Amino acid sequence: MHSTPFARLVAYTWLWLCTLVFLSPIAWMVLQSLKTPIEAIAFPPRFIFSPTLANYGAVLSSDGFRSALLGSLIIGMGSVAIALATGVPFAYALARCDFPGRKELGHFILSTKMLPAIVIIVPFIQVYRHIGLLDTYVGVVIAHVLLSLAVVVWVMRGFFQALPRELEEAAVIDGASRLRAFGVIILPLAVPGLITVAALGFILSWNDLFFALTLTSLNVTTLPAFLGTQYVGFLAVDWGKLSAAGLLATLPIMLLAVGLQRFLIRGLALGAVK
Amino acid sequence: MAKDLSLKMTTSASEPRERSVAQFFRPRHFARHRSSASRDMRRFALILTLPLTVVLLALLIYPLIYTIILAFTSDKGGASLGNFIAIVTASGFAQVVTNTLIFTCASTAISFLFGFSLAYAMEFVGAGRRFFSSILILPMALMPVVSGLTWSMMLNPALGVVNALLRVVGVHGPGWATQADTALATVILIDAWQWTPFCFLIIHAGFQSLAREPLEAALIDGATRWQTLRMVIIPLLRNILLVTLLFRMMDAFKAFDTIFVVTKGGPGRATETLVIRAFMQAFQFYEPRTTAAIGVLLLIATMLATRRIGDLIGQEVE
Repeated sequence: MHSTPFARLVAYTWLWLCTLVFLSPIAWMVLQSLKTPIEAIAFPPRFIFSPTLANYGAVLSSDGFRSALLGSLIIGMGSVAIALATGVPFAYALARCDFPGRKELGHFILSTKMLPAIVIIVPFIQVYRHIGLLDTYVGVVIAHVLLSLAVVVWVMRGFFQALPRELEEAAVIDGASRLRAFGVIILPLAVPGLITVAALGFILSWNDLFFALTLTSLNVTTLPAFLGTQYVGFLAVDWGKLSAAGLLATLPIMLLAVGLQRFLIRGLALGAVK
Repeated sequence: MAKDLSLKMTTSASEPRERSVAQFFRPRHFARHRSSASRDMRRFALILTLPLTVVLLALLIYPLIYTIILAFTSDKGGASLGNFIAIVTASGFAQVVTNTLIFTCASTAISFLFGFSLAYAMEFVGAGRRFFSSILILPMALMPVVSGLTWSMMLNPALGVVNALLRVVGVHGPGWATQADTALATVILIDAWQWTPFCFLIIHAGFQSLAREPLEAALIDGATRWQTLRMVIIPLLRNILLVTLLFRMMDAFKAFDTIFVVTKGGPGRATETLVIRAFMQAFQFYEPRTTAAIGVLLLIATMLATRRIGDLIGQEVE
């Protein structure tokens, strides 16, 4: 767009201002994470101090953090795997096959994203208690499938619809089964879409506090549940360690988000934006 | 069979004409092939949809039915509306509903306006687009628990960096999340900070998908920037803006992490929303029926919003 120098000046000023506001909490976390416990609660807060990596060392060597990290990884990958395995074929059926109730099913899947988890958590816990899934990895994995299912189905549906239909038709006429045509021809073409939904699903699982808080206690923990409880004491918060742990827990996701931002846009609007 | 259950391939808008011509010349063996293909298709659709249907039945349908039944059951076991009467007449219910509405609307409006203005500002930027968009999406990637805790640390009235900086310029900072009259505004700001990037990203992508010609034409015809924005850009982006707004609204409506981490609904009832109240009823007061009744209210709101969004995205895609 052609623009006057004045308009550009206003735009740049606004963007810089917001960039600073957006970045400052993260920058402050970095500063806090490099301080000793005394410095971290010093008043007035210090901007100049001799940095130490002691907090990072302490966090990384603590069993709690490590098992929470492991838990988050297992649960993130497990739930994404199940969501992909069930959601991708479903999305393909929504995109390509015409069957009664197609639209309603699509809406129903969408509502899983909108539904506040508190609506279903009480029966969830009761069922889990019955079948022994409370406080297990499998239990949280299953619950987290709900977080990414809508994203997987809706984004992949849009993706499949954009692929030319002639691709599978040709394969079917050549004698391949529909399932084979889907697996061998369509899926490889859908890899960018699969990356999008896998990354987004992983982030949703990684960041979720609610299910981890309600479905786990001693055996299984995830990073959000750990961070929300471990460094927040009744009287004191260990701000240095908390910041270090928070950064370590979110850094992989921030890098993933920045690296995949083109893909993520598509996923966030569930395929409404191409 | 009264209903036609055959699963035909859906046809895209450009296809029908070619089809009808092809059909006219279609040899016989081809037609036979098609009918067996349609049976094939039916089985195929079943194979594709079955796994997820099973997963959803187990994960969602049962708990939903259970919740609805629980909500309409009295503690003596009979059917009743008692749970709903109880939540509506419970002390502070009006405030909880008001909090929910204020939180949802304010957080949505703030993040949407900031996201829109930033996306629009990006249109004037030549160099540095990638830089700005990389930074502007960071808060969204931050775990809500972490951003909640970080903001609590920064906004701590006694030791936090924000009040310390305010003091430097001679302002006595408020108590933020610890003070009843500023707590709701504080959690709204944190939530809006976290999710502005969501609005920004989608609207920015929307701007980039716009054709340049109508905009250039409008400007050449002497329209001001404001007129172009209002009469050309916004109508063209209507659907994307609506989808963004509705998604953001639903997310704000069910917000849990930020409020739970920063205030747990307090001080007093200052930041208690329907979701937080339902959570407390279940896990602090062990009143699953009350939670179920609130859940039914949340469910109705969700269904209404979902229909609208589903139609909008479906429209975009098809």
